[in-house]
Amino acid sequence: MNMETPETLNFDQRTFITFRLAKLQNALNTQASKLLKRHGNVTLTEWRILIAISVSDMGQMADISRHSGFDKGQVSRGVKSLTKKGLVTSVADDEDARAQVLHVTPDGKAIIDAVLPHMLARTARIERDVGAESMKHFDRVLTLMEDAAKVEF
Amino acid sequence: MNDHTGFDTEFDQRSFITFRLASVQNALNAQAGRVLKSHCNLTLTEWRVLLLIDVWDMAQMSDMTRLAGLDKGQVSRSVKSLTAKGYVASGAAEDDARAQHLSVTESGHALQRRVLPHMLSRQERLVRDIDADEMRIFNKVLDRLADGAKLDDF
Repeated sequence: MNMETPETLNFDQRTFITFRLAKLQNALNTQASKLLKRHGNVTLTEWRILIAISVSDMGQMADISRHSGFDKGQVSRGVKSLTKKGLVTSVADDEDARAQVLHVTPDGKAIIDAVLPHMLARTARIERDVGAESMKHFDRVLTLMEDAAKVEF
Repeated sequence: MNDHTGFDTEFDQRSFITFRLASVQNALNAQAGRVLKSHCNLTLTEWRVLLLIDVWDMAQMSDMTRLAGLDKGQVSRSVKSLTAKGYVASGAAEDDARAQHLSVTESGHALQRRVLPHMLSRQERLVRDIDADEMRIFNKVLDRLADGAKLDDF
């Protein structure tokens, strides 16, 4: 938010940093959702899970959760809708018949191929505008906040 | 390796700044949700809406979506629930009878006085280890990212 615009809220920047973050997050999500709608007909959650499945070693839930940043419930709902859309399929594990291994279908791969260049262009553009040095600082602060977010009050 | 996707398997969305932000945001929201849960019966969005009405004097839902970047549906559900819980009252605006004018009730104020200290000490803790210079850069980057989020040609 540009603090000089009279139309904007007079935030106490230190105190309401979480509010600014939340606002930014909403804007970025809207942008990503539009991009996905335009090029791939998947939601942002589905997209992150689709990518996570495609890069995870074994296609297993814990792996996908780690790669997507979503909890088990979110992953399981996302997998369900991706399966329904025919973008992901699950097969029994060779070594453990009870375990399911997830794979991206050819249709899912087609979506990744169609969307990924646009996603990469968007991220590259945003990161370039910020600059590498600022980005390093930014990331350090994010890490501090991430640690502080674990504290219970 | 599950390598039938055709692109470089080195690709890792976790290195994206947008992904990093979303993860941190997730953790922060979960924490705020826990604080609220142990001190009152509001969701995080309800809490934010309550503050917007009171501290920033936003009497109309359209202000919240436009200035605070909240989702229309979320705002409308939160206002409904805050009204049902008796923390927010809604009447007609003086200058436009069709527009809704929101205000915080006495019980809404009492709730804020009770919960705010806990939320503020959490905020203080979040920025405790960040020095002024770093915070300045952080805010600048947030501005840049917000500008980047407005681009719509990808």
